[in-house]
Amino acid sequence: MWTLVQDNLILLVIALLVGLAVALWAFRRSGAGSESLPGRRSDGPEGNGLQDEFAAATQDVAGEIFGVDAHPNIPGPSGPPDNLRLLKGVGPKMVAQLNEFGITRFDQLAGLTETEVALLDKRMGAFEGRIARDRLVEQACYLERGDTDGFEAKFGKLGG
Amino acid sequence: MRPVHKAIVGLLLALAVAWIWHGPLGRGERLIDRLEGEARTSVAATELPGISVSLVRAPLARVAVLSGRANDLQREGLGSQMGISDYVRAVDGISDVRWADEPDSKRRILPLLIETMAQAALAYFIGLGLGWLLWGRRRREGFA
Repeated sequence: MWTLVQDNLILLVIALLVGLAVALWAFRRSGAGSESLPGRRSDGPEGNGLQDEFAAATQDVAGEIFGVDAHPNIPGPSGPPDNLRLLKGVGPKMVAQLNEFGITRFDQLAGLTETEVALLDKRMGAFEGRIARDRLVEQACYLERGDTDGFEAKFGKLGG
Repeated sequence: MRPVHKAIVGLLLALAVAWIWHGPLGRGERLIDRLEGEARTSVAATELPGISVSLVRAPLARVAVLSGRANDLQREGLGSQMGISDYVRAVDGISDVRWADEPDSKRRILPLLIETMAQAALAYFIGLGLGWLLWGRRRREGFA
């Protein structure tokens, strides 16, 4: 069997690369967790290429090491504030905390990248980790689109 | 297109590449030629006259078929004494050895094309799995 593997090594490398390419095609764009969230950015403003992702990752790690604010670019509000308390798991204190970071609208939350969520979550004080844990970005995606049925199907009754 | 459909398309592509590799590119034939040459060298080393060996060609398979006059002792050996079959079986890459005049020579064989395609499919799924680990994993916690 090993002889066959050695003899077919180039073929096996090609097949492996085909598998990787198909995985990139099948999984990367939609992502298993965000497939149903058309309004959601899949990554940051750096771009969508592998090089861009690598650059963004390097920037994040460097930011962690040097204590530099690597991703401060949370988009500003584009209109009047939304009622962020409609989000499940968000109370008045957490709304105040989010407002401190300039987040007053659903579209701002919905537009956060995973990196931005991670960075923001660390600075949430008593609410550290809650943005990811309570899936606020996903909730905000529904509410930003006005898809209350979708929201309620997934997270329960709005305002309940 | 759903991810599962894309994965199936990729699998078909990997299998097509394996078929081209095996057939039109001639890698299967070349491997069998090489193994047959090594098997003949092994048979010649036993210095038994009138014994010939060939590999199954229709379909190509890593199965050696011996023919010629030899008694059971010469064929299968005894204890630590190796027979002709053992010498051929020791050739790296040969999966099975049969004698043309024995009833079990008609046993079902595993074609080399199937082995090649199975390996290509395995390599493809390993690549797909690695890709899934890189790009497909769910990164968020469930809603508590």
